[in-house]
Amino acid sequence: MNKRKLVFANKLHRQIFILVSVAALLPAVIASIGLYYLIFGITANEVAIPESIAYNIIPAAKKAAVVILLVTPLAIGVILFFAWKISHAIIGPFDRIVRELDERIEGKIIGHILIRKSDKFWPLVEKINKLIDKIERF
Amino acid sequence: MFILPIGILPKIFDFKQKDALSEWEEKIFKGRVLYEVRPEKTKGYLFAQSKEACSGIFYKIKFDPKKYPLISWKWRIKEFPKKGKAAEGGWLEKDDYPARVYVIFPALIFTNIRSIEYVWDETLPKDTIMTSPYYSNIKLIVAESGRKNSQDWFFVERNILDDYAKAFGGVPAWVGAVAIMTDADNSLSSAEAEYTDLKVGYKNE
Repeated sequence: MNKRKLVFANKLHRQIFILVSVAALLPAVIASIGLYYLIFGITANEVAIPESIAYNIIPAAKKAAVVILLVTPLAIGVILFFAWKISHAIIGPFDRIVRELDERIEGKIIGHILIRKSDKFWPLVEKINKLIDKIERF
Repeated sequence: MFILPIGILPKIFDFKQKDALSEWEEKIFKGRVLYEVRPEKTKGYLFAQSKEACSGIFYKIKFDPKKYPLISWKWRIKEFPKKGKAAEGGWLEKDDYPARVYVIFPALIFTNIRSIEYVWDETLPKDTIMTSPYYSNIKLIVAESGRKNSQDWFFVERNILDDYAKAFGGVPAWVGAVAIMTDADNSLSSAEAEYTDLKVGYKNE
């Protein structure tokens, strides 16, 4: 099993991970940059005199930028970790359902697919099990 | 980011009313400079007195300097800051002027704000352009030079577009504020100046 396989179970896993990451990162980046310029821009607007902006606002903005730069890798790490967890929570049961279906198609196993009721795919599995029952009756 | 209503132009500040500074805002850097309107029968003026202090007053007004490139005012100096030993020091120590008139050019990104400060300097020749020791986006232009009779008013009219082109190159998008400052904080001395008939945002007909 290669390293990529260790991180992502398959292509779909990777795609969901990218989708969740972008959905979380993009608004966070836009909001951060927007807020940064909004706060310091409004303050600079109020101060008006450039010496004051140079003396007070720009040093404060630089300090804030340093903090943002230090915190950003951590924030990105946390977002990516949760994106992986979410994508894994989706793709794990999905893979198991596909595997179980394969085994039933190949005739290795018969009967219901077993899945926890708390699983997000429970409604789907419930329908598949009903379908299996119908097929078995025929 | 300056969001300002476009003012009625030209805007004239003749300081004839006691409350002439009611629409102006103050920015204190180091101690408070006395800015006092002194209305007289025929002529009013703004008296500014700094005692080792540095603060300015500014008025937000938005206009397009390409359409209205001129600014003018009258001023006289009652007392120059005694730069003395400070003059031998660095740039920062010399950054005291008895009178300054600012034209401020805001920008969408606040770090790009620029300004021209028209100063009265004792020694430097008229039209000398300098960069502020505080910020490279601030250019100082000597609008009046030398010690002159403190009883006479000296009229200055500047073309903002021309001065901007000389100081920064290019053309400013708009003017966002004008300001006045008298300071003597770096030289730890005192300065006194008077301003009147500040006219902002007009063109030669």
